[in-house]
Amino acid sequence: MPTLLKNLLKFTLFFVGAFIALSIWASYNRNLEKKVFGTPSFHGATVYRMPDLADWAYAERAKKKILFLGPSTLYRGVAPYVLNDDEISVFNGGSSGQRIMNSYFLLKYVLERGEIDMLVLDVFPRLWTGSKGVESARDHILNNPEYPAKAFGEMAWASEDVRNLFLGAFYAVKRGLLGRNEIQVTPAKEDDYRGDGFIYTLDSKERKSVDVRSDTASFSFREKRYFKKVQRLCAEKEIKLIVLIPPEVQPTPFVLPLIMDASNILNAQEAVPDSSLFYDNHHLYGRGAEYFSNWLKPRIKTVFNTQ
Amino acid sequence: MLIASYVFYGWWDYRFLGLILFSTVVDFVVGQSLAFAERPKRRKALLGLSLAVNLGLLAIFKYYNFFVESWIDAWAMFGIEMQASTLKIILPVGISFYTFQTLSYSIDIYRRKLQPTKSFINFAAFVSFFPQLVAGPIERASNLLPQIEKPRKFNYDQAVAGLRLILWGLFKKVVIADSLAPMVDDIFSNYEAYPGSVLVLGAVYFAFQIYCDFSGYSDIAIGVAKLFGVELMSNFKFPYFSRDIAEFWRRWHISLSTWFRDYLYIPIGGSRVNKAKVIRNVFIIFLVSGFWHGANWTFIWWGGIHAALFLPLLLLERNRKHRGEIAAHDRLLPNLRELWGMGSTFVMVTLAWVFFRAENMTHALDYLASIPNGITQIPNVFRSGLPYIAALLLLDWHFRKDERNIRFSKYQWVRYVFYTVLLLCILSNFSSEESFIYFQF
Repeated sequence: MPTLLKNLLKFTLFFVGAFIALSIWASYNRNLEKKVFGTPSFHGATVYRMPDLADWAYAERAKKKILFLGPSTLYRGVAPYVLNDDEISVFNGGSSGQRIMNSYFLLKYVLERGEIDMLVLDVFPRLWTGSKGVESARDHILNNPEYPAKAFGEMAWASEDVRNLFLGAFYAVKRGLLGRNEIQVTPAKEDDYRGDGFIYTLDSKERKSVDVRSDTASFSFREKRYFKKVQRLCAEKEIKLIVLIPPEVQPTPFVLPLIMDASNILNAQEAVPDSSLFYDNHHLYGRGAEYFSNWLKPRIKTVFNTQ
Repeated sequence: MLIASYVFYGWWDYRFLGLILFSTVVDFVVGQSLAFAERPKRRKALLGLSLAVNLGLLAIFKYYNFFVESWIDAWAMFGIEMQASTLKIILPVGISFYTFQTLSYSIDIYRRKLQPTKSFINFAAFVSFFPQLVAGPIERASNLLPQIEKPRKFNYDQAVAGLRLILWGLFKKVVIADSLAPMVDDIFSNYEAYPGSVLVLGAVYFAFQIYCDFSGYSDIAIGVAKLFGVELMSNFKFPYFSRDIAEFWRRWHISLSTWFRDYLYIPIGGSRVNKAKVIRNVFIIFLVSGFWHGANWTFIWWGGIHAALFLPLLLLERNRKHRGEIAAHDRLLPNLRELWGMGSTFVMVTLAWVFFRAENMTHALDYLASIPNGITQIPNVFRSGLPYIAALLLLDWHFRKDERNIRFSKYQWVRYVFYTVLLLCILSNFSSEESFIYFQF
């Protein structure tokens, strides 16, 4: 046994050395990087959102700071410039396929840099089962100039995906060790990034048919676990937590998880009655986002004033 | 080991733990009772109980809907509309593997080839031994049970060989099978849109996908078992280097084909009966083997095609021509005769794979009928799979003398470079969304 362990250690050192050498080489050779590790992409403007989020997190609390976290329904659906005023400062921290696990680590990332007053967590019921947040974790490694911040490393680990760890290790070398954190991506034509994390979806984006789900969504064990962590962190830092169920053309039926405090839930499933403001069942055009944000504003303010 | 195995199986769906436990209890009790039963009638009844329970579970969970639907279809051919309800049944993962494993235990005791174990824990560990529980190799009690019963000691060479097999198996599965899978899916789903040359590519890719997927799992299973000091039987011995169909079946899914040979083919007479019965027996074993893979006519046809390919060799008494060593065992390269044998066998096997992969018989036949259209066009899509196949063939050829010894070179630094390349390829291709094809059987 000791001989095996000794030889395994020897090989591990050899492998780590080879990996670092390959990572350095790939950091300066785009073709190699693309072949072995992959290519960053626009993918919901994470590349622009994350530096903005870092700046917002570090900014002083002159106003009440409200952070929104959630999936694509959020970054296309809530326009901070509609919500912002003399009293509140909003940041939309949504990203593609973001699950509660991903939101938890994004919240940690923000709290490591500053304080916030309220968290609005978009929990889109269609995402309650299925993937473990692998896609979003990969997005926050590959397309995120702020990687390798500690919280993103933890997110990669929590996604339980070998490839995410592999990519995480490479970008730790490239961006952390070599400081090569410039990311070149081509923005999607119909997606107009308007700052504070929001993407204004232009009307030129093709409308898709509405797919109706009749299955009732309920929280997976994993969603419950990370929701509890978010609750705990918010309680610890005295942050108000609001759960937002986003608007849909055909609302997805769901069972409200017992761990949620019913008084802090904003069910907006039917908040946007005009289906022409959506480009599919649950993604809003920019016009729709402005409409929905106007619906949201007084309700958010009420929560502040009443609690 | 038993706890680890049950946790492993329960991780997928804990409700099916009851099923494996039930099968285990029945065969343990049957085994114990057979030890004391002398009267042939009673012995037969006990064996019948084991067969009924194990094959009954398989029939309900795997074949119920197939039988009901085939029954309705058969009457529909005569214009009679029948109403029957099918069930929404989830196929318990690995059921075809562990039921065959427990059955072999009862049959061997019935034949007085094996003494029943007195320890229920050891028997349960044999049935559920986690490395090979869900996709084989299908072990025999005479090989695995004594290894579980005796105390095991750590063996450096065995552990290292195990780690090498795990790495090699992962490479075949993650890098080759999973890279070919999306191309195969695309080609088979949209075969009308592609020229014949691409369809040929699709069939070849599937041949390598299923080989790397399944043999990769077997290598991992054998490797993990080695870490526990257990030697499982070999399941694949470089089948695409076979020089005829008979040799192919000695090198492909060995644990299943030998199971059918020992517990079905030989009991019904094997090849020691008259020619008509030999033909019948060959068809029975291949059709049952096809049916074992799934409740679909495509699998049965796949088995039938192999029977038709194997039979001429058997009738001409040429089926034992390549019983010994692998092609070019004492040379670097194969000679022309061997090359022709390997090439023609691969073509036949690959054509049969089309039936295995197709959704239904119409799909398979249409796919094959579309191949002549545009067969001469050089494919300008899906060529990215070819380097994977070339790499696999080169490495398989290098290792061909011993499937259990994946030692690339005698020089340690060369081996380190080789393992590093394999590991980097695995890590850069890894996807947590992919599964193994043979889990569904």
